[in-house]
Amino acid sequence: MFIKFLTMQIKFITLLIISCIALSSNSQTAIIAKYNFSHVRDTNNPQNIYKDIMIMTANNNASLYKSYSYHLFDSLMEHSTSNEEIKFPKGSPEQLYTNFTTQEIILIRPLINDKFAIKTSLQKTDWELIDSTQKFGILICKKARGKFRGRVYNCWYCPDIAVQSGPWKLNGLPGLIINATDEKKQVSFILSEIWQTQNQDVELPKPLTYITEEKFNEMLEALVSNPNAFLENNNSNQNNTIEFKQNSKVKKKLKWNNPLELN
Amino acid sequence: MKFFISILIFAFCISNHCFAQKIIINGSVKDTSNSKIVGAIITLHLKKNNTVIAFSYTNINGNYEIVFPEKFIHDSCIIKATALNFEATYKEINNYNNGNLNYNFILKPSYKNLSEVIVKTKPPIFSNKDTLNYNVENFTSKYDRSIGDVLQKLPGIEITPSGIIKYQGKAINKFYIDGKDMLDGRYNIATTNIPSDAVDKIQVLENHQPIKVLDSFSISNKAAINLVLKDKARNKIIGKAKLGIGYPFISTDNEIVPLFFSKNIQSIVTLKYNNVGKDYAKEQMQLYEDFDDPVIYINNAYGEMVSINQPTVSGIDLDRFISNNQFTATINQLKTTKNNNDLKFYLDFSNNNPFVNSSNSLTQYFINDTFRITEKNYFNQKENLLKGSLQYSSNKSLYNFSNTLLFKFQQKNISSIITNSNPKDILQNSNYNNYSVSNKVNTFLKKGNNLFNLSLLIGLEQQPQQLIILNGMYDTIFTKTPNPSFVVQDINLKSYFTSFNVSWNYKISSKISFSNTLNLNYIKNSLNTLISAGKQDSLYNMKNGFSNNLIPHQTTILNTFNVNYKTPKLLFSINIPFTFNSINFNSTHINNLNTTDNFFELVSTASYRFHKNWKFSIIASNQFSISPSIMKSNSYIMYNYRYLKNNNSIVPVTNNFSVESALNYRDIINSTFVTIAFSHNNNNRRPISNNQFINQINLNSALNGSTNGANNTISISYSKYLPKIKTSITLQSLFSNIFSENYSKNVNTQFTNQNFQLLLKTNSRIKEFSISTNTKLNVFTNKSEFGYASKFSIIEQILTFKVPVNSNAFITLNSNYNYINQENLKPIHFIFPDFLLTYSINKLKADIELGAQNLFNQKTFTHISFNGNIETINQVELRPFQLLLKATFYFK
Repeated sequence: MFIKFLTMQIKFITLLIISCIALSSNSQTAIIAKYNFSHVRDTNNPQNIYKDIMIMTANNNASLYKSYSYHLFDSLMEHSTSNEEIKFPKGSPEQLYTNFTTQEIILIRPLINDKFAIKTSLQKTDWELIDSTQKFGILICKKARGKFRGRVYNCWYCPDIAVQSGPWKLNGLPGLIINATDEKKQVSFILSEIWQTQNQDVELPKPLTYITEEKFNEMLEALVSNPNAFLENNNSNQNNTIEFKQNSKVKKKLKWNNPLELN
Repeated sequence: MKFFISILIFAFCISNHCFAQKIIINGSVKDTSNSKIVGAIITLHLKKNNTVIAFSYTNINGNYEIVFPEKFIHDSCIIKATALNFEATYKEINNYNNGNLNYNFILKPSYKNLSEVIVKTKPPIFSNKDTLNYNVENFTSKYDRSIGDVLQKLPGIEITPSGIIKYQGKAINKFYIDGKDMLDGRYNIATTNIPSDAVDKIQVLENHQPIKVLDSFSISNKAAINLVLKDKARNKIIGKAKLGIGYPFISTDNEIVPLFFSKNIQSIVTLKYNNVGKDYAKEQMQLYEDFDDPVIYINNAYGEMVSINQPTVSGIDLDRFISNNQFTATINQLKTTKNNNDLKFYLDFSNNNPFVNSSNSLTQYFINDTFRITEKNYFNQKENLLKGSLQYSSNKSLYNFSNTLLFKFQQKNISSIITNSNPKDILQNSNYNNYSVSNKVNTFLKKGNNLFNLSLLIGLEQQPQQLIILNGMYDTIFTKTPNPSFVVQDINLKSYFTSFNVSWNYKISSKISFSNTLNLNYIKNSLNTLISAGKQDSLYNMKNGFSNNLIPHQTTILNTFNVNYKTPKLLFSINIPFTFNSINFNSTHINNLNTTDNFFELVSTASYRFHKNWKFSIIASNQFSISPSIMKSNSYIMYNYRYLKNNNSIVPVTNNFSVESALNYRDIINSTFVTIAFSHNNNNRRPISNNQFINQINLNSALNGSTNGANNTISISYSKYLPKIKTSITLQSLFSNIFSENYSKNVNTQFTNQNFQLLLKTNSRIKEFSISTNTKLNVFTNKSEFGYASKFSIIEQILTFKVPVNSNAFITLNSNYNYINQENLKPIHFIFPDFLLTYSINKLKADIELGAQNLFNQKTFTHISFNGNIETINQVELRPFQLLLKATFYFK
């Protein structure tokens, strides 16, 4: 009884301390930006352009970047009852969390019912600032150019939005990146909407299982080659049983010759 | 020993350079409660232009460090700290000598809310060096069909009624589609036929030099337009097919326009037929000359001598008063070869038969005379025109070669019935034919700092023409034939012309170059004219005094020395042409008509961009122009039923001194364009063109002496695009003062015409509504030294509303309003409303349109103009109420 009371007290005090810290600090402002992303994945088939709408939440310290359709999907899942049938959306299920304080990038990749986190260090882009100004809507932007992962990007950033974030892994300019297009015009991130919210933190989604990229790829390969065996081995914690039907299409691996990251 | 000392000094210098002290700026960023701010942005700016030269962020401890770029050590700089949720704070850096500088910042919280903004992904206008890009989608509404609809909404760009595109007040010098000049200046074909949704960007190429090899040797103040097509418009056939039929029976308006654009092939074909007054032949008009064409062909044969002028009015569209029957066809093809050379040809055909009924009142004021004529004119034209060109060109950075073959066949017949106070109606009938062919070769070769040019033009032109006048008023003049019932003017004009051009350009440095161009022109004309008169079936030739048999040989040598100075901000050019002109008549019965003239001229051009948004340009010139040798005659030539002219004197020469200056402002970020222009023109013409009126006939002859003219114009143009309310506004004002001298009966009359013009043009999209207005106020004041004065004002207003009915249909309401207020007369009003219902069938990619024109069935329209000493009041009969049902299918 005493132990239970003590545990309750500790929990209460901890909650009180956290609340006090939260209330004492400034209310957090975050920027939410929507980007139109397009990518020519296969140069042999340049007409077939992969397109997605991405959403990024950013503040001074961090940013979280994900597909807008999955953003809506996650929101629906939070508020849905178990009886509702919610279809998986199109678009990329991956999320990218950039922490400028710790100089880390965490790639969040879902697999079945788990979310795996792959941590890498933030790669600094050597931006060349170009003396060119352009107005996007009401935002006055400056131009910059830099090489990142084998591609040369021309970017427009807005010094009036004082965050160093940008779409995907592009960041490190003195203002939010509004627009980025690679020189070959194969990849582009174009801002379509932007707004500001109060009291919103930019946080890592939870729960997460930290894993290395190699290990994740192994798991993915195991799932693709034999889904049912994979589920049997990894499904101990799950209440729901998912049965995979062998689909010949799954095996047919799509071949693209133009990845987003060239090196 | 010296060697070692040198090495030591060199090594010392190198080491000094290598170990020069780095300037590092560091510090911390905290908030007002002394808490560190992580991720704050620190930027280092140049004080003079706010350019960011370095930047950094605060780390986990709220500290930052920036390495100061050494090359800016002599510049004043500002360091700025900012973070989301905080106010930006600035500090000036004054002293760099310490090596390490420390600047700490305390930022005040700021809760400025960035309200939700929808950012248009593409800005309306953006620039890249000398290229201005207009994003078409920002200016397009769903009601726009052709790229011409969009072009007229762009700030900084103006389209004249004939279709000429002007950028900041100056006509463009090239029109490209995807970087290719397929249309050779006939760009109305593109602006009226390329769909607006096929174009991604409209680019303005400022200071454009079309010939690549000339780029570093010459300067250009003109701009070009380039349409950048969308990917979806390439590599497939796009275009439209239109079928229209309606009342009065059977009004019809049809066209088929297939277009094809790919990397190596461009093609535009148009076939159009209408009888509703539309002038599709206008599309085939050449809207710019080849300004940079080195072949300076002096004195092209002046050909159409017996043309009968088509009565016209301004202030309303031509299709309101011209009835017609018109078929036009054009084929334009461009093929780019593997070596990136272009082969292109075009073929234009038009069968154009316009007819206009009008009442004209013309008054010509002189100090000693007033010539007045009032008549009704029934004008009817039949014209067949076939023209074409075949060109092969190679436009490379080291050489340029082009060969152009041009030909033209034209047959024009005009008949005009004049009814006035004469007992019988006068009938004029003119026939004009033109058959011409010419070939032009141009070569440029660049060798280091030298550029050589050779070009040759040869051509033949034959222009037989005839004018027959029935029941004319020549009985007092043609005394040999008393009371002739008809007179005939026969003209046979043949011309052979050639022009050879050689030039050498030398670039002294990247900024300065000079050139010397020698141009040799030779034209041999053969002009035979004969006036005959007769009664019924008898015809008399009146050789004495009524025929010309002239074979003038005109040789012109032109040498031009040119110096150019070019920096990114300043362009300066000075041209000193020297002209030697000789005209020799191999004629037995003309004496003392051989003439020679020498002229020194001067043309100077300068443009200075003294700020990124501001540019000043000026062109000053003192030039002479010699009229074609055939303008000289020894006896009368009958131009129309009341105008006989004898240039029985020296060859007409005009000396023109002009200054054109412009101050241009363009702010791309705020989409604002301003042009303030001033032009002064002073001209002196010899000989005097002396009028003598006998009844209603003007006998014009030459007198020794000269007349003067002057023109001063100041104009201000402001245009802006407001993206928030999707509105473009153009406001223009103009004031001109024109002075002229005119002779009648050897006495000079001086006239001054003043015009004040105010124009407001707006184009807005409010939600689904589209509203465009075009309002023009003109005030004309005319006075002479003998006390004549008149004043009148004209307001022209066009309002167009486009209103959606549902998602597929919209209504267009169009209204033309004209108001004429003349002193001591009752004001005149005209209003012409039109209605159009458009229904889009998306499945068929088609529009069905039901249009009603001239809803109030107005019968006539009047227009007044005053030019020099001539006042003209033209009243045209309008086309009646018209109802037209059109189906337009789009190939997308």
